[in-house]
Amino acid sequence: MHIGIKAGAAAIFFMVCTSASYSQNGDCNYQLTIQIKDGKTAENIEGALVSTGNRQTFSDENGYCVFDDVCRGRLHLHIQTMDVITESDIDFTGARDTFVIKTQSQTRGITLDDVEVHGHKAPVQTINALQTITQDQLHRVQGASLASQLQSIPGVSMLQTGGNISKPVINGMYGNRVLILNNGVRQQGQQWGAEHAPEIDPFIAHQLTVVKGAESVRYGSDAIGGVILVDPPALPDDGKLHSQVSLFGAENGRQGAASAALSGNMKKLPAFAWRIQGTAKQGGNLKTADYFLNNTGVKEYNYSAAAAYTQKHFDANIYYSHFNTQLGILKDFGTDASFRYDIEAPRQQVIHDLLKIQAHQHLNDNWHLTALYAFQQDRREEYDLRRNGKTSLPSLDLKLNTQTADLTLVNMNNSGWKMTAGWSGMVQNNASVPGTMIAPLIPDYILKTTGVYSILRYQTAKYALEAGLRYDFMHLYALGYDKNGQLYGGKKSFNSLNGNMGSLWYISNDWNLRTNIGTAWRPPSVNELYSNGLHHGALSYEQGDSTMEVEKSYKWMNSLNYNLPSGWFQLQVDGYLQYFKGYIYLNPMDSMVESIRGRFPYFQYAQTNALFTGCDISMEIRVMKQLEYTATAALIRAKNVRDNMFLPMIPTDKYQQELRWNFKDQRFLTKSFISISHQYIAQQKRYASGSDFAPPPSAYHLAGFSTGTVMKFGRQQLKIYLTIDNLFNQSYRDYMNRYRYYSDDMGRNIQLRLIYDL
Amino acid sequence: MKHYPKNITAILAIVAMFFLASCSPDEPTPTPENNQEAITGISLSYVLLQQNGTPTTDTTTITFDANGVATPGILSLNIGKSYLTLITFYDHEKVLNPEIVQEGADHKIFFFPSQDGIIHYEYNDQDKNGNPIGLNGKTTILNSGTINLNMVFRHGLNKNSSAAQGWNNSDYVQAGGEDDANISFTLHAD
Repeated sequence: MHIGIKAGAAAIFFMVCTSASYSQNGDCNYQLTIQIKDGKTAENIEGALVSTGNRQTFSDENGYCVFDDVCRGRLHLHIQTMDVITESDIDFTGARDTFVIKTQSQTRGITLDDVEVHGHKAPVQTINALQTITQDQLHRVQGASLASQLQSIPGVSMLQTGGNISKPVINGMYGNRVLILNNGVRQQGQQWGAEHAPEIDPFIAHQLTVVKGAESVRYGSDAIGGVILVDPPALPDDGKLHSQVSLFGAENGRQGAASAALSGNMKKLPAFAWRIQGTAKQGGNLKTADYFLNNTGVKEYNYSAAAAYTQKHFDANIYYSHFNTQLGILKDFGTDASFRYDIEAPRQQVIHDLLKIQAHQHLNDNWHLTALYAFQQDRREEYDLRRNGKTSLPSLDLKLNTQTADLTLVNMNNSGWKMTAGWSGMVQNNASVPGTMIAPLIPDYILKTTGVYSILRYQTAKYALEAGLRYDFMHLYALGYDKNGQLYGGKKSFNSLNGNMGSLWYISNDWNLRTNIGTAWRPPSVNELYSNGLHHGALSYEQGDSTMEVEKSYKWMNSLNYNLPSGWFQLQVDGYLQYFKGYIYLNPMDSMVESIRGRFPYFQYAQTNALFTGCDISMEIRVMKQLEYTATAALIRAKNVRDNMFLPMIPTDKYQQELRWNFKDQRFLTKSFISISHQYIAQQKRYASGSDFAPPPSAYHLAGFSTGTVMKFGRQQLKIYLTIDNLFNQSYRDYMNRYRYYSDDMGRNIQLRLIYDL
Repeated sequence: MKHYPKNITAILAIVAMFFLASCSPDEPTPTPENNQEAITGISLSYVLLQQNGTPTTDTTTITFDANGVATPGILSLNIGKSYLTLITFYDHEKVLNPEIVQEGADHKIFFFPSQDGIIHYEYNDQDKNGNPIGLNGKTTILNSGTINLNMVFRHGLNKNSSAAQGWNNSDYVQAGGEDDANISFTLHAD
């Protein structure tokens, strides 16, 4: 960690010294005037945040804003209004004409007189650094699991149970410490399980966003590690029918996926827009470098529908999605497995339904009111090899019903002040469906939560300040029958007051610095409170502790960004310190539990104080006009500071680099590229021997190759991407893959993606 | 503030849906499961065999409770003798052996003595594929000594795997499956 920081500081110092030479440019004495209008109503927009390079300002009551000392040439404008981000590339000749930009919520580029405009929904308005994967970047990784698609962001890793089951990890945290927002709705499944992947179809997403700071004030509990936002595209408003078809094929596991979406907006009824979408995916046994992994197939089908009604100052939308997956769990490891599509016990079957209703009213020039109601049902069945014909009965059959409601009030004006206040509530009911003939792992429970918050933000051209406060109250009533037929459980209440303060400072044209101090919390989950026994299929005996209290964290996050205006060099360094009071973990008890099934290591859920420190670095250098080099590094150090011991399952140091050649655009083939990449994953040396079933695996290198192009035929376009992961078929084991106790990780995987837009 | 009564009502109605729906059960109502999973007891009987292999009435039995505790703690057998080895698995009062035999292809019993050369085991039973199970077998005492004898009852394994062959294959985990029972006791041979 120390060496990394010294190297980072040296790089920064070098850049500061050389940047002076780049900014001395006599061609930067011009005044740029922009007017922002609403793309739908053509009204002038007041209070839009308009930025170019490292500078920003607000539009006045007539929608105008002015930038002085602007360079001539191609400029990128970023315009943020209430919930839409419009990006525009203009050719600025220095003339005094006003550029009129109409806000645009669509992805497709629109050219209006030399102004190319793209839009997308603002995932979240925060001072915290957020990283988004969208459009081409997202299409290059589509078809893989949600967690895999986020791996290019430094600081994001995954906890895997084989290649098809993966949970996203942000700065070392996962499960109940990472909040996933599925189209603005808190995703609620059985996320306490290490082998329970998020039940979301990533094909529905138009952008994936990761926020790494503490967003507890905005979202409440579970946002300790960060937030992942999965956002579908905005519905069309151009009176046309749109369609998109995506095809994905992977050689490893002989996986195929197809997803199609149809959306429309009728010219006769321009206020109304709709979309229907569906995905089907199937894969068979995965392969390591040398052998097949028996029973590691996947079968998934999902569909969704959305409709929206938009008026001048009011809009409402409704969304429904259905997710259905079947996943095989590795068995018979070490035997000569061959390729099969069949999935047998042990296996998981998960169905997730989500319904969302949302409405937004623009009360007057400055005030906005939004309400959201969502209902989710998560049905999880897990099947094991059982005696007496019971393999067809699930060993775990849980039905989780969750209802959430959010009410948000926002005040925006052009003086730079923005206030957000909100209330959110959740009622959740978990019940084991009878008939498993085995005591359920967790009790039935009813969970009710409510929270209120307020966030104030002040923005000028040079800096932005934000402060927020939130109070949450939660009540849990759990009851269940254990393996001896005894009733257990009880009532518990939790509450927490959390706050955050942050600032964003535009140091100069090239540098900006964000810093944020915030608290976050989460209550102990039901399995941490009430576990008692052998986790089925596991190698240990786990005991919960029903006296545990909330987990509270204090995070100080800093993000330094350097961006050469000419675009040849970009550097982002995120450094953070996170202290936990009451960090909940599985503590190995140094004793064995004797049972007729054998002797098992005994683990007890416990609370301690922990400290996480880390840094995520990403750098992009345009070596030549068409040659780009990208490098990222992520390092985490986590410790149980009360007992002075290392914490288990903390991601190891990860380094990635990519060299990419971009071809010049041709008439039909555009954005063509070819790239090679390399990954180095270090060995986890922060490990207490005897605390795990096997020592951490050794470090490894992986090479990759990728190429792609976009073919344009008039309004239609076809994107083609060919990617090869683990190019040299390296055999390796990853510390964060729970199958490492039994087998190697995935071998070479050749993937082809075709995305067709009509 | 301009007023939009109809729309604001619609917005608040959305939130009202939540309150209506949340006035629901206040108490979870779990159902007890008829827990048929666990093996709660094992009995291991050694029946002295005559020279010609016919069983006598001389039987020594050791039983194990749900925690794997053996009664008696030590079992004494004689060198040079062979014993019919019968194992019975219980779920409370219910004998599980018929179920095990019916799914015999998925089950196998292994023995792991702490020292080689003291005992030898042979299977007497077979599943429908001709592979041994281990509910009925023959243990021969070869030499004197006091050893720890570990018995593993495995289900879901691949009996055709090389790791599953024999009565004391220490690689048995590689054949897959799970331990349904894994108990140990002291065997004294003289």
